[in-house]
Amino acid sequence: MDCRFFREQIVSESYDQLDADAKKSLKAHLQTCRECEQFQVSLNETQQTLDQWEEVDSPIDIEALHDVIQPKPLSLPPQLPAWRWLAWGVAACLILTLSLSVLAWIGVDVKWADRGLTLRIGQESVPEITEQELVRLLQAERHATQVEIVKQLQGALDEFSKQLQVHLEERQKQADAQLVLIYQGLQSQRVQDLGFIRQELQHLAGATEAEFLETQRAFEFILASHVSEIQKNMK
Amino acid sequence: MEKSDEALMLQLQTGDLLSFDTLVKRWEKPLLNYCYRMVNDVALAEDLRQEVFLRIYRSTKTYRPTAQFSTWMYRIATNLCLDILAKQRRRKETPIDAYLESESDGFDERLIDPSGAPDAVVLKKEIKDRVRSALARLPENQRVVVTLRHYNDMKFHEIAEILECPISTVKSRMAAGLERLSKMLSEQE
Repeated sequence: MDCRFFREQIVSESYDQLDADAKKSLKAHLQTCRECEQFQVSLNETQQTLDQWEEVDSPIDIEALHDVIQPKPLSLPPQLPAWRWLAWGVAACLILTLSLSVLAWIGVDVKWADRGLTLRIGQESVPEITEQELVRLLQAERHATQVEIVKQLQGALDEFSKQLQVHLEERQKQADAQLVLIYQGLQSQRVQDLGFIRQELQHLAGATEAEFLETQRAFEFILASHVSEIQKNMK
Repeated sequence: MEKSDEALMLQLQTGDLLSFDTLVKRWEKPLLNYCYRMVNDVALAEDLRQEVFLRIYRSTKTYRPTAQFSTWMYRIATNLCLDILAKQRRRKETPIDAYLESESDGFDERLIDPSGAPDAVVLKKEIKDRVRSALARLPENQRVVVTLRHYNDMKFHEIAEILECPISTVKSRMAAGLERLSKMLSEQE
């Protein structure tokens, strides 16, 4: 290992950060290396000199630091008391009333109309209107009324169509439900009828079989009587 | 029993500002001296110290006690100091020697022992100036390591964690730094 490695070891040892094995190894090296030994001596001197630099002390201003990390809220101007606000309000109303009175006295008409606040000074002159103009105006008004009526009718018709559509849909649903019920009723009636027919057929088959047996017995009896009569005649 | 730094940080996370004050009081002096030794300017070091505490406060919510608080704090301080030094280099501001000259008055008076004999006081100041001058001439990567190990008593592995480099690098920088300091101090004598 070279001296550079051991010089790092010397530094570590000077700060007591060297394990026992490394210390032994270093000790052995120092016994053989004059340069590293000198390095160790000069290192100790350097460290002692470095220790001469005393620490500075300048306590931090905690309050100032608090101000930086948590800025204080801005101070608002003091609020006026409620009576002052009331006094200001009354004064404002009085000034407004007085102003309107003065305006009315000097003939200025102030109105709040559809188009906002309007000011009118003196009497408004009514312009002359011709008969033709009047007719034209009436026609225009009539036309406007008709258009309005048509619009209203159209709206009502649309509403009626919608309601009718809804009603038809409901009726359709009801009809479908009734058809389902009828179909179910017919189905059950059919099942009942088939059961009845099966019973009747079984009953008929039983009666036919009994009748057949009786007829067979009658034939056998007749046959037997005929045979006995033939035998008697032959004798 | 004093609470650990990590416990104080966790308390600070709950909004307890007093724990922050305790941390500030505990670390203000070591941090100031670390920054001072790095930038060689007391006023700048004070500003840097305040900035470090501000960053610590602002990072409270994200702080996780996975590493030692001191390691984390010195990492912030180191990055700030290195940034400032880099900016100074780029702007070619007042060279570091100018600080050595300009700071020989004023603040240094606080360090002088008033009870000491005049010769001893002068000698002490001279040695201190030599150390400052030598440390200021060290390359930044060596100055960080020497300062943290020698003055702030950080272990090599902690310094490696702060600088995010291998321990072997830290040790080699330390050895090189001390060797260089040794030469510079002997030359000045």
